[in-house]
Order: sequence, then structure tokens, then C-alpha cells
Amino acid sequence: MTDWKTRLIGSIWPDRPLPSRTRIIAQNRLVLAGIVAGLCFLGISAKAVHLATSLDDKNNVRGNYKQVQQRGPILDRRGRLMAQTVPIMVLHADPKNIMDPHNVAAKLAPLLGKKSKQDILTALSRDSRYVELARKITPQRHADILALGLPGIYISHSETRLYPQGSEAAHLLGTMDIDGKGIAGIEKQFDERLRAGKPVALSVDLGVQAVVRRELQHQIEKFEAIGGAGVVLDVRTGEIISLTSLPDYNANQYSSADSDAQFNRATKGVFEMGSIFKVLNSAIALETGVASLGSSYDVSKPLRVSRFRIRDYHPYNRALNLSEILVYSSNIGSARIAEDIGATAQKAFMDRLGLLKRPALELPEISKPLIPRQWERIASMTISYGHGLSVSPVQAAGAIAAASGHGFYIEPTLLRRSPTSTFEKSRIFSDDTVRKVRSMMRLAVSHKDGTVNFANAPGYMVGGKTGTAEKVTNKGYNRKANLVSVVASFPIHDPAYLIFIMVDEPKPQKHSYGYATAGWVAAPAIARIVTQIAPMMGIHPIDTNSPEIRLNLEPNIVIGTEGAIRASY
Amino acid sequence: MLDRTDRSLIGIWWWTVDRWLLASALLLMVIGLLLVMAASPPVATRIGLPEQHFVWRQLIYLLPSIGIMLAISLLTARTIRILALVGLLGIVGLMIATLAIGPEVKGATRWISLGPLRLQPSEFAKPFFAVVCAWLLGLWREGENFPGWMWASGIAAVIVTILVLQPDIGMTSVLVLTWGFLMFLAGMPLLLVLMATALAPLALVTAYFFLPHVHNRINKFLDGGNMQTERSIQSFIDGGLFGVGPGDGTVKLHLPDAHADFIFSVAAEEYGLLACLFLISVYGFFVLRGFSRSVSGEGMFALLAVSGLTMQFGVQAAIHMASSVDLIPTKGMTLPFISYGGSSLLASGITVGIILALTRTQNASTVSSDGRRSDISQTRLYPSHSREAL
Repeated sequence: MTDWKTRLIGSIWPDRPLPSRTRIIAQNRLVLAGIVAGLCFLGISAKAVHLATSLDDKNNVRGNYKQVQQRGPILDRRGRLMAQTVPIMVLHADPKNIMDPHNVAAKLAPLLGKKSKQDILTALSRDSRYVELARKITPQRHADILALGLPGIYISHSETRLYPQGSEAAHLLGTMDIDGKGIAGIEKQFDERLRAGKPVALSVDLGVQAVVRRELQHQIEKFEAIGGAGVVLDVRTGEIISLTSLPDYNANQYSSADSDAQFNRATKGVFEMGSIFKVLNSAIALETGVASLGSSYDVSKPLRVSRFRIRDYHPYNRALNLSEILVYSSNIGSARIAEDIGATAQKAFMDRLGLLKRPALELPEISKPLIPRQWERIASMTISYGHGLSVSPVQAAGAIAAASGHGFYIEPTLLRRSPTSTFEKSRIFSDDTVRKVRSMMRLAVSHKDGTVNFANAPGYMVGGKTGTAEKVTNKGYNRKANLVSVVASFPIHDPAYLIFIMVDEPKPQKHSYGYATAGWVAAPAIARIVTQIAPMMGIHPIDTNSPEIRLNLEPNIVIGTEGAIRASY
Repeated sequence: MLDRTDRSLIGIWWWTVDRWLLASALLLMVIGLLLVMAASPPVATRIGLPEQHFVWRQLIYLLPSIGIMLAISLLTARTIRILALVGLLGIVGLMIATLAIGPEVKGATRWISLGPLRLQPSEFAKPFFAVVCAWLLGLWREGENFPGWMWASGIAAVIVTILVLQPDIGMTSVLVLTWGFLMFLAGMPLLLVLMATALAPLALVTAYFFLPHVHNRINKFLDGGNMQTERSIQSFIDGGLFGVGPGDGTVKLHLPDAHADFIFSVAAEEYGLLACLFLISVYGFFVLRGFSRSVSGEGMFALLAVSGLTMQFGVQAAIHMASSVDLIPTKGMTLPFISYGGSSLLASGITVGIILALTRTQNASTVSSDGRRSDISQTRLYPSHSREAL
């Protein structure tokens, strides 16, 4: 049969001799090739139409092709701006295309207030095809410069990152490099999320942050200290409400800050925390049952342990009970308690309190703790009062929040947690233990012989503990250079927040009668911080005689020798 | 205009040449000049040349290109075969010379300098190879026991070896494709066709693993992190339906060789989608017209040569445009007649010239049906077209 294809071809090209078989094959296959070619061109057209008509949903297309999006903002816990990217205009020049640099410089100089004619001329004489003359041009300047109509001078769109709070939380926010890549702080930690245009909501409260920074700065100046750190923690959720390191810098000018200012003492620095660790020591003793509130320890003589001598700042010529050891801050007593607890149990508790590993905090600038190589009897005795184990302020705050709060350890976080969000919390101390520890901490503030009297903020029921540690230098401990700190919880009968304040190398002052101890340097800051932030965070003052306090604190604590006085808060 | 009774060479040419193909080719050249005018000044200033440098060079090549195209379209099939054979031999020699002494430009040695001009011999190998290959295969199918397919395959192997050494993967694939396409049309058993089709992806995979720059290109395509492609895509988005206006585009400022390898993106941005669709349809029309006209020649030779050349022309255009719209990995391939590039323009002129020559009407059907001009039989143009032999 003469098949239809032959007839079809014959009808298109008539008057032809009947093609040979070879030709028919070739022609058939050519038809196939033609169809394939047609489909290819149709495919290209379809893709071109798709691309060109996706104008309405530009963002979507850009997303598909990983187009650069405006970097997301960083917000505080109440949605206030901490970092935002804003579009700006950049004035730049191509020196090769500038015919008369003198003339151009003379015309531009009056419009660029900060730059002199000479500066501009120098820039224009550079052997480069791109010199930046000014950033952040105002619309008016933009129009003025365009009106000059200078060849070789260009204005293009760019972006800049603004940190409207300046130095506030500068360490936390970090910075970006010239290509817009986060290289420090939250900017680095959440670079990907921010690049995708999504906001990052932090747990930090800008109001609290400002208060802590101001009060810490005040104490540092008052005591001629070299720096300090502050942490405020929500003890129920582990959220960091404030994270401060001083000295700091303007977050908008990261690169011009020196390395000491850039250093985040609150997370990157690890320190021997001193006596604030006694809070943990007492809690572990009560939790393991090796001691009760009434257990007494002889502190009359310095303790000799191999080549070390453990001494007290204020020697007591008698036996002290557990509460007195904490309230008076006795090293000898703490070491004796630690002996009873034992190194293994102590280490296990420290581990569960997150003190022996690198914290999982959402910042690149975090350090691993320095742990003694051999954690035996001697180490455990010094660790009981905060020597021999170096941790960062955030870690210390997280651990002590468990002992002075509600008994749960929660890894501190910088991300905001909603009331309904779930997170990991592990119970370390029983309600009974924390109730006793809180009572003792309250007495350290309220009892006349306590070390933290200056931290008292009437009505807010502050409980706390001081810590003074000699700084380690290459030659061993330096008696003149101290690191003083106070950790405090409030309201102590039902703790909501924990505050940690550390001041680095305070000097004795006339106004402090020659003292530069934690009680004089750091405690007053706690009182002022509490009175300012409590109203912000919705905590109301309470009558110290209210039954609520009696119910939530231990009534039978004996402090001092003048008979057995029942604790008064 | 020329009278139908004009018996001069030009007169016969005018009445027998396929004017649709001729018109599309000239149209593409004009569009190309417009686009190079738009795209090349920033590239020229960027590398320190006078602004209109590429425009003048394009013009300098365009005129000879038109001349060559028209001149070749006057030739007979026999002359074309001789020309192609001599040309191919000469170019293979030049390519070997290029390998030995050619300057290395952007990582490849494919150019050779002739005075002020720098030519890429492999561009000319393409059309000549297609003609020689078609000739050998035509002889095989229509002649006596001549093993044309062996000869064709042998020549293909030699040229491909040289191209791989340069290295020039784009040109290699175009040549292999030409060879395969002609074998296919010449009646290669379907089983072999299927096997060859299966082998093509294998070749791609091999290239991916053994050639670092192919590896890179394909990775970038798959990851989508390719700056060139992103810019190119952006040009389509920004261009929209009508474009941002001639000269106002920005893609040319950011893409290397925008006037050659990304001219389609420049077109998309400055002239818009509609202009692009028009351009695609001109190429599409040319290809389909070329295919359908290839059967109007009498011999197998004309059919194979015309469809092979048309395919080359179309594939090159399709690869260029498909890279621009991110359908395939970026492959620096010029858009025939449009992109800047002397060798490319001249070679395209040769290609279309041969197509025009071999598709000229072989009987007087276009003249009239009353037989008045029936004496213009193709016997004059193609004395022995039914049994082609040199």
C-alpha cells in the first residue's frame, strides 16, 4: 500500500517522482526531528514567558533563585527593634571617567559636609574604577548631586545595618562583614534565618538591659574597675532578660572598637566565681542529705589540706551551722561540708547543672569551662567556695537559678519563649531543698550580719549571695586584683528573676571605707536594678509580714549566738 | 526588480532561492546589530576599549558575512562539495596548528591570529563537516557499495579528538550531534539510534566526572547558586513584556561577555518578552522551513546537508536561549547572527549560504504553471543531481 505519509508528502510537494525507500525513511525521521525542534523552541518560550510574567510575584521568583532579600530585623522580647536593615544611597565615582577631578571635587565638596575638597580629590585620583565617596545620602543631596550632572559620578542603592540602641546589648547583636555576612553575635548565629528575611525575636528586654547596663557602669566608675558583666534570667523559663558586658562599644561601629571592648565577658569569659558557689554547695548538701540546717561545723582554725590552707575572711572562733556558713560566707565551713558530700557526688551535681560543658547558648562567643584535671578531695573542697572551676557568668547564673529558684535546671536561652512553649527542664533539687536555700539567701541580705545587706530593695524580697575571687595571673592568685560578684533572686519566696552582677578589679575607695568587696561594689547595683526592673516586669512590692512569705520560707533558722533567734525576713 | 525572463546568474538565483529563509537570515543579522549596539559598549569600556569598538567590529564582520552567504548561495551542489572538502581539510590542519601555537584565551586554545583578526577555526569546521558528512552518507545510501558511514565516522572521530584536546566541549557536542543526526536521517537502524540516545546521558555523566569545568557548571546549575544565571533570570523578570528600553538594561554591566554569550538576556531585559518570543519564533521558523525545504532537493545529499546545517543552526540558538532562561547549565554558545563574534558570524554566513544554495527550487513550479519558463530546469544547475557523484 502507498501509506498515508507518502501521500501526504506527495500532496505538499507534488509533481515529484516517487521517492525511494531511503528517502521515505529520511523524510519520516525529519518530520520527527522537526517536531522535537518545535517542542524545544516551545519549551524555551514557555520558560521565558514564565520568568517574564512572574513580575507580580517578584519575591517568589527571587526566593526560588535565592535572590538576596532584605535582612530580617532583630527584636527584643516586646518586639522593639534592636537591629534593622535600611536602604541607603551610596555616592561613588569611576576615576577613569572623570575628566576634571579638580572641578568635580570643588563642586561636590560643599554637598558632602564631612569631606574636604582635598579628600575628594585624593579619592578621585586613585588608580581604581570604583571609589566610594559617601554613604547614606539624603534625598535632597541625591537630587543636588544629580543636578550637577557630573560624568563618572554615580549614585546607587545599597543597604546598611542599623542598631538603633547604639551600645545597648552590642555584644549580643554582634556584627556583619562588608558582604553582609554575620560574623559575630546573633548576626552570626542566626545568619541564615536573617538572610532569609525572617526576624529573630530575642528573650532580652531592652528596658531591663538599659537598667542593668547603667547600674553596672555606675558601679564600675565608682570603684574604678576595668569592666563587668551582668545577667538577668527568668528562672521559670531560662530566658535571658539581659546580658551585659562592659566595657562595650557602639554596635554601629564594631570595627572601631578595641578587642577588650569587643570581648563578651558574660559568655566568652570564664572566671572562678568565688563564694556564690556556696549556694550550690549548701543545696547539694541538703539534697544529698549529708547535712541539715542544724548541722554544725568547726571553723575556728584554718583548714590545712596537703599544701593548701583554707582560711576565712572573717574568722569565727566557734562552730557554725549550715545556714551561718552561707550567711557569713565561711570558706572553712563550706570545705568541710564538701568533704562530707564527696568529690563524685559534687561533680555529678555540677555536671547536671550544666557547669562542665560548653553551654548551648545561641551565641558564637561562648567558652568551655575550665575543669580541674583531677577532681578529688582537694579540688572538691576549693570548688565548694568557687575556686578551681572556671565558668562563664551565664553558666553560673543558670546553675544558681536552679538552686535558688524552683529546683529545675533550664539551659539559659537568648530566644524568646512563649508561655505555651515547651522546653527541657530537669529537676535537680527538691522543693524542700530550694525552700531552705532561698531562706538562707534571704537572710544573707536581711540579717544584720549578712554579707549582702546593700542588695536589699524594700518590698521586693531580695535574696542573694556575694562572691569575691582573687584573679589568677601567671604567678598564681593576685590578692590585689579581685573579681567581685553578687547573685540574687527576687522575690525570694517565689522567685521570678535571677540577677548576676560581676565587677572586674574594683579598687578600694574612701567612700567605701577602703572596701572593694562584693557586698560594697556589686550589692548596691542589685538593689537599684531590682527597684527599677520589678515594675517593668510586673512584680509588685509585698508586705514583709505577709503570711505568704512565712509560708514559703523556712521559719526555724538559727543565726548568731545571741540565743536561738528564729529567722526574721 | 528582476524580470522572470532574466536568464543571468543573478536572475535565476532570485527566482529559485528560498526567499523566506533568506529573509529570516537577514532579519536576524539586523536584530543582532541592534543588540550588539545595546550590549557591547559597557563591556568595551570595562576592558578599556572605545565604546563602539565591538559595534564596528561586528559591522566589519557582518558585511563579509552577508557577502559570503550570498556568494555561496549562488553555487552549485558540486562546487559546494568541493569547497567543503577543501575547507574541512584546511581547517583540520589549522586546528592542529592552533593546538600547537594558538594563544590561550580564557583557559582554552581555540583561536588563531591572522593579522589583526583572531579566528576560531573550529567554528568553520561545523558547516564543512556537515556537508562532507552528508555527501559521504548520501553516496552510501544512493551509490554502490561505498562505505560512506565509515568514512563519515572516521572524520568525526578525528575532529572530535582535536576539539576535546582544546578543550571545547560545546563544539564537540555540536559536531557529535551533527554526525548522529545525519546518521539517523540516513537510515541508521532504530536499535542503534536507541542505543546512541541512551549513550548520550552516559557521555554527559563521564564529562561531569572527568572534566572539572563541566563539573562546576553542572553543580552550579543544580545548586542554583550561579551568579550568571541569576543575573540572566533577573533580566527576564526586570524586562517584563516590553523591556526596560534600549540601552537602559543593567544585565550587560554584570555579565561577562554579555554581548556574546548572554545576548539573549540583554534582549530580554531591554526589549522585553515579546521581542524574545519574536526572536525564538524567527529561529523556530528558520529551522522548520529549513527541514521542510531540505526534501525539495532531489538527492539524498541535499536533504542530508540542508537538514544537518539547519540542525546546527537551530541547536546553537536553542542552547544559547535555554541557558539564558535557566533550562540547562550555562554553556558559552553564541546566538547565530546575533551574538558578537567574527568567526561565529562568518561561519553562520557560510552555513546559511549553503542552505540557501541547496534549497533553491529545482523545477519551475514557482515560475508558473503554464510551462512558459519550464526550460529553467534544474538540469542546468544540478547536471547530475539524481546520481550524485563528484
